[in-house]
Amino acid sequence: MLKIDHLTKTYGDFRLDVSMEVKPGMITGLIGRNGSGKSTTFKAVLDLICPDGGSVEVFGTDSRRLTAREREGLGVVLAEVGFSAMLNIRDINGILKAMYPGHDAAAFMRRCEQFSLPVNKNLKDFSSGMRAKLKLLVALSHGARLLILDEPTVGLDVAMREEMLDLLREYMSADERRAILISSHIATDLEGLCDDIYLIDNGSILLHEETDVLLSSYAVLKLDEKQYKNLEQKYILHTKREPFGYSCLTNQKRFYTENYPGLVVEQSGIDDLILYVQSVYE
Amino acid sequence: MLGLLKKDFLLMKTQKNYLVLIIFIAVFLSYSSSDDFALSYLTLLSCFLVISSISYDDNGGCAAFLLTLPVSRGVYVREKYLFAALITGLGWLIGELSVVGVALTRGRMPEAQFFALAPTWYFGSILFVSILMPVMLKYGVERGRIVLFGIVMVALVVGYLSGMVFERIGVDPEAFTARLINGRTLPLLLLCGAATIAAALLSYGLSMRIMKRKEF
Repeated sequence: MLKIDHLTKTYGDFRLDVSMEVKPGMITGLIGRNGSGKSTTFKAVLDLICPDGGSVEVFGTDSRRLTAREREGLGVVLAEVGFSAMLNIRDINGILKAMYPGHDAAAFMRRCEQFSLPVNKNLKDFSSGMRAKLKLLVALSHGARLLILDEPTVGLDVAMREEMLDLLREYMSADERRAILISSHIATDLEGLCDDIYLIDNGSILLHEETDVLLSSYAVLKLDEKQYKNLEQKYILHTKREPFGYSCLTNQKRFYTENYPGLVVEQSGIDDLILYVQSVYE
Repeated sequence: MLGLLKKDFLLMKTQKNYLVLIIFIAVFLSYSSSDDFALSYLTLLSCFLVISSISYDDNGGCAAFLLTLPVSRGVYVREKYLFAALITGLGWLIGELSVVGVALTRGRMPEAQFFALAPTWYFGSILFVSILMPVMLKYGVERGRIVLFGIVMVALVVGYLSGMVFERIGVDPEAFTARLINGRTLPLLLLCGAATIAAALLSYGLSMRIMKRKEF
């Protein structure tokens, strides 16, 4: 569906160098803090910036050479941009109908009403939550094969975020060949949604793992000097000096819990793991 | 392209008060000033609707979003030129109708020269759009306005200096223009038309180049 191979882009001191893949039937998450390179990656995929090097293939075609027909297979949400704020939902429905042969105008209007979006009000009078909802409904409106969603949950409260994530689950269950690339700086948003997760920081992918593995096999070990000296290092991914000794990231939690009974093993969520990996690279 | 055109016309709808006002002023001018002035006023004012359409796309990065839809950069540029040709054409047509309509209510028809030279106002507006389009696409509306102001200032200086040259060599520009037009209206119109098309094509090529390299 989407293959990024050593995509590079430099802005002053910031250098992006990213490789990743989104496979059919998968929801892939790209997690990183603000300014880590998520949006730059998305912009390169969507041909909104000129990369310095590397390649991006969408549906097996160079992303810069996608035809209009192939682009119809994409549904996009960009973090801070969308249709003009002077338009209303009826206007947008008409525009989408003219652009996408697969756009179901009646279903789109029904969906908007179902999500309590005022169809005759200009977007400038929408709350940030309403705008975020609309952006996602637009991306879902024409039966796209691949959704590229950059921070689609920004501006939403917890309940709204769950509603949006349900929409994405529904979209995926309708056709197993579909795929989603979604970014967020809130890892818990993606924990229950994504099949695999890439962690990006300072323009580089620090970690790529299936979500289930990440949640079940990764952990942070807390060790004093003596414990650290006697520790099997084979399954240690990162080590950090701490005031109490060392903390180590492993992807073989079970090995250490079974073989080192007295060890402090932190059952971390994805957010904690991300913070840990980021701190190692700082 | 149809979707983009639809979007631009729908956005124009949001300026309906402005549109009604300029049509009202055009009718008023048709009563109170020369036919040519009313026509030129409406045609050139319609160019600002083209700037508005670029401004709407510029605001909040809408253009970036539009390019994630099934719209190539080339299609985006073509649509803007088509929209400009349609809008300035519409402004010109309303100007013509307004002048003729007002003249008819007074029991007369505008002079033959008005009809003969009327297309030059359309050519003029296309020429203006041809200058502003690459400037707006490259610099955006805010900075583009400053660049455009600079271009207008240069044009004014050139005009002023040309006037001085005419005065020094003892030629009356108006009489010179009248002599030039006299009996040659059609070939001159064709020449103006060809020059306008050439300028528009040049501008289109430049805009395409700018858009191909533009980053969002």
